[in-house]
Amino acid sequence: MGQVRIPDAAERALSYPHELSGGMRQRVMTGMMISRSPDLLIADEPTTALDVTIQAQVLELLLDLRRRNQMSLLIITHNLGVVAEIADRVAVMYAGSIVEQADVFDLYERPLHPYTRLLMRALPRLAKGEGRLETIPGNVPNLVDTITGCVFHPRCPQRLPVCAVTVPRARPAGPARQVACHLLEADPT
Amino acid sequence: MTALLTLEAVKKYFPLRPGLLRRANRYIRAVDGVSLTVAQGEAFGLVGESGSGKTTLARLIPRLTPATDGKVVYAGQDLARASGREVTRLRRQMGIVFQDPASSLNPRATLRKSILRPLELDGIRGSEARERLDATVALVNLGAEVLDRYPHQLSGGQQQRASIARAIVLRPQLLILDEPTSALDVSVQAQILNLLQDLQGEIGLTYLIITHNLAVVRYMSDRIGVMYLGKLVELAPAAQLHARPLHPYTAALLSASPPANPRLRDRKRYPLAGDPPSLIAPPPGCRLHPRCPAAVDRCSREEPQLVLSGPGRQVACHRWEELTLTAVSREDRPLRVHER
Repeated sequence: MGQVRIPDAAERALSYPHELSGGMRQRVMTGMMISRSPDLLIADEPTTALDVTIQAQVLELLLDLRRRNQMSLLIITHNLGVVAEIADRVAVMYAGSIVEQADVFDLYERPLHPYTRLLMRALPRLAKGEGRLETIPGNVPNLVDTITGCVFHPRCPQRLPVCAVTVPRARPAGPARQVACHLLEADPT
Repeated sequence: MTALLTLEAVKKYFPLRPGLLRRANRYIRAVDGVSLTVAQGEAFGLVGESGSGKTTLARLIPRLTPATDGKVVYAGQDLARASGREVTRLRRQMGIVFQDPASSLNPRATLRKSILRPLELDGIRGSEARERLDATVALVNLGAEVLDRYPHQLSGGQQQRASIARAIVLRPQLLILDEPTSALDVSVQAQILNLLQDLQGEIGLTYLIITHNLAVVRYMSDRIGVMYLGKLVELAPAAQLHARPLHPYTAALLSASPPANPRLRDRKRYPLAGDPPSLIAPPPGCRLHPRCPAAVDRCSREEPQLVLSGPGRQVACHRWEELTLTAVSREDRPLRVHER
């Protein structure tokens, strides 16, 4: 409990979950998981329910534990801010498929898959009056229905005829980078 | 600048039920003396974390909860002194959009029914009601084909458009937006934010936007107020707040909020120690002092008042003049996303 920075650890160990704050509960969970010195820690939306100042503490803690325990981290999140903050590599998923995998800097600065690109431009990073946000047409598909071809083609502004027919294969697109998109197969840039 | 809404030293204390010990006079001090003015046509953003009192404050404005003390003045009228009828009339000039559209829309009513309801309550029926409904639905870009569906048959984005339609169908002057996009995906959030910006121009609304999301508040607001544990700690034009925060809490909040740009990982941080303290017995002096990296002796003894720190700027910190808090946003240029 010391490693996950619970103050008065001995006393706190006797507390029930409802007596702890959200940030503290998340630190306890992290403590439970690292107590057996795992090689890999999987964190599913580890900060989604937390306030930003507490989120910052938890992210800092995860990074610190990783360094000290030589542990790998797999973070699952919908928050692109959190990803930018702690990931080395990122895989972007859409409707059950990984559409792009890249180094974090490449992903944010040069997204290649149309879905990733639209996502990056939909983030509010501007001040009022500096411009409009990009949106993605349509809605996330119902996963009960089978989509033929590329999972993103019904919403993709750049779709080709082939996209509705064939599932694009993940292809290398630079060092440590893979993209599953027919556009890149047709016109590798 | 004409003030549409003025809050003067507004307080909301929720009494705690006396327990076994029957200790009287214990309160949760959700809002503890907040004063601010929102101008006609302005977009005012209120930010803060859980327990800062921002949502309680929003509920005090249409008197969904009566204030414990202080004054809420809307369009020149004191809501605490207004008669029941007057309050009803004033409330019709305000719309509210809540965080979770799925739970704020009646699950047993079609969207048409939900959006018509405020008109009905205002005695508007028949063809006039239908015309107003059509006009409003067009304003929020909701397809006419979804009007006869129930909320659960719609996507989150459509539900939130319907909530907005219901909130503006009486053409209020003020629209209170309480975490309007927190339950939505990034791309749907972008659609709703764009819509809200368009609406403001088209029907001349004044916005009070309440959110914990700093990127959203920056994109939407002209001025921003920062709340911590029931108090307003800083108030400034949006660009200035981001460029040069004066309160250590504002700096902490800005630096903790991940900017969706991996190049900013090494930015200067102002980490806050520990968790927010209890609202029942808030710390003496400045409420931030137990967590503040810049706290000195005085901060634990004397409560800082909100003072003018420049044109249109106010801050409640004993040390604002000596501290130089680095802007996060100086390097936070919009990331260039290459075109192909």
